[in-house]
Amino acid sequence: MFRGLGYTQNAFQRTFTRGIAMKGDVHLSGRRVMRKIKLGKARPAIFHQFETLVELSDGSVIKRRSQAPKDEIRMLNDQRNSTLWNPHRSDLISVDPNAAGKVNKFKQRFASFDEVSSGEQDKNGKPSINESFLDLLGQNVQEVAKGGKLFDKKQKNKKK
Amino acid sequence: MVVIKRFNSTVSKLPTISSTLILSRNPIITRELPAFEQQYYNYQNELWKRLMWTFPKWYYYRDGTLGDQRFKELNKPPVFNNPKLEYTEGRPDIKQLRDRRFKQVINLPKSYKQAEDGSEIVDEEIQDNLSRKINPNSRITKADESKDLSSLERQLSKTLYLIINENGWKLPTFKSDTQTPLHKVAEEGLFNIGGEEINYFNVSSKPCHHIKGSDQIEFFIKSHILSGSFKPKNLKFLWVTKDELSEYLNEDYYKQIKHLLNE
Amino acid sequence: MFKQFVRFKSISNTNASTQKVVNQLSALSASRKQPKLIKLSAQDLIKHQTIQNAWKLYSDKLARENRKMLKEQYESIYNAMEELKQFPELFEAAKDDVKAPFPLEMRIPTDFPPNQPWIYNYEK
Repeated sequence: MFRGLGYTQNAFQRTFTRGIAMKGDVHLSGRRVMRKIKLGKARPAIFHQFETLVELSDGSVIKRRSQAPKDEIRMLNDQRNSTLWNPHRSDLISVDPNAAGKVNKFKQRFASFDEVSSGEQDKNGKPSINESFLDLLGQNVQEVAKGGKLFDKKQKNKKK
Repeated sequence: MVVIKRFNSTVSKLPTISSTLILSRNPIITRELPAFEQQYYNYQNELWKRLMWTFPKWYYYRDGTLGDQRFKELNKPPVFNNPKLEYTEGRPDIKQLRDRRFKQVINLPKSYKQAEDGSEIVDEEIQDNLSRKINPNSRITKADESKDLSSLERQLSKTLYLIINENGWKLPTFKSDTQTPLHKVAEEGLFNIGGEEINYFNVSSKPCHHIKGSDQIEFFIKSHILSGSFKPKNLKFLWVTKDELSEYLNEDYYKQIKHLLNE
Repeated sequence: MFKQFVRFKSISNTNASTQKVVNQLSALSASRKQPKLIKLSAQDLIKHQTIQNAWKLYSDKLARENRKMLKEQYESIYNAMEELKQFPELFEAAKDDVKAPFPLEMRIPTDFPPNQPWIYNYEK
């Protein structure tokens, strides 16, 4: 029991204080003063860099150095498939940037759970129990849509 | 004040003029490095890696996160400097998990599933996966393999020039009157022989060169083809590099225009 | 009684803002991150200098060729324009260069070609 408590408190503190940087709160100790560099001892700043492959949207690949720890970067929308930069092309396909990441993969896999719990209709076309409860809550209630698939389904139903 | 008249009005007959188009396709990929340059860059690259600072891991991977864990799995800490031991290859000088005597080699976590030898395990359920491994296309194209000289997709690392066959290979040349600007003549001529589906960029309306004959002058106009295709009717044409151009053109002629061309 | 599970290192006395700035500064500073200097033996030093000299000669040669080419190109433009003065209308047309906008579709070379090396699609 103690274990759990210790963990959650720590994690809470961590997450709560993350991303806060108030200018007035920063107190750097006097130790952090630049040391004087002796004559002839100066060395250039060479940051650690990774060799990165960048794939542009048309499949061409550029080698470059980058400080960020990523050795492969894929561009989804860039100069090569933007209509702004290709005014004379009619065969451009733009990729949905939201279809890329892990979040979308997660949604694709688990959106069905969300679907079952809310917003499905019976065979007769009547709204399911969940929706009828929503009606009880009053008008102007909007359901919180989660998961890409669910959103599409609702729109289709409306059109019909 | 002395005024020098270069061309006085006593010239009886003006020479006929023509406008020659140097239509180039710019390189699509970077040039092939000569062996010497390749070796020198390798040498400099290794020196650079050796002198690079230690990677500030704590800045990019927060302690205790999943990313941090993956990074640790891939990068084992170097041999610890134990004061009680003797080291045959010199005493390690470890600062921030890096032996400062050597370059730091870091394996980064990948966005795709990896086999033990580092190759990608392809998940066949998900087609067109956006986090798949980057497999660059070959620098040698099909047109190179089939030696198709009339393709715009050959010799991607070099500049290509258009030549046509009208009683022998030559750059496309168009007769001009003394009214229409030279670059207009070249443009119309190009569209006449090659169709309108050419997206091209005329560098300047000024001629970049001239060759004077006995009673005719040939002016040269530079331009680039950007997209589209050159599709003539009943006309042989080739896209060739600067080196290949010397084989197709008259030797003297090539020498006179050599400095206008890129590799 | 129980050994407490420590997920994270103990948080220092400084506040979060300071910690963040210290973290950023430490990523930027050279302290404890600089590797040892390279100590070359006399022989290696000579090798290194030879490589550098060779490179200097090579790049000088390239630069010289480039300068020569540019000079020749300039001279041919100049001569062509001089020749064009015979035809006043053409000369005037060539002189006031219509400044066409730089083509948006011109691309810089990449290290590896695109899936479709050349774009045949063109619509006005």
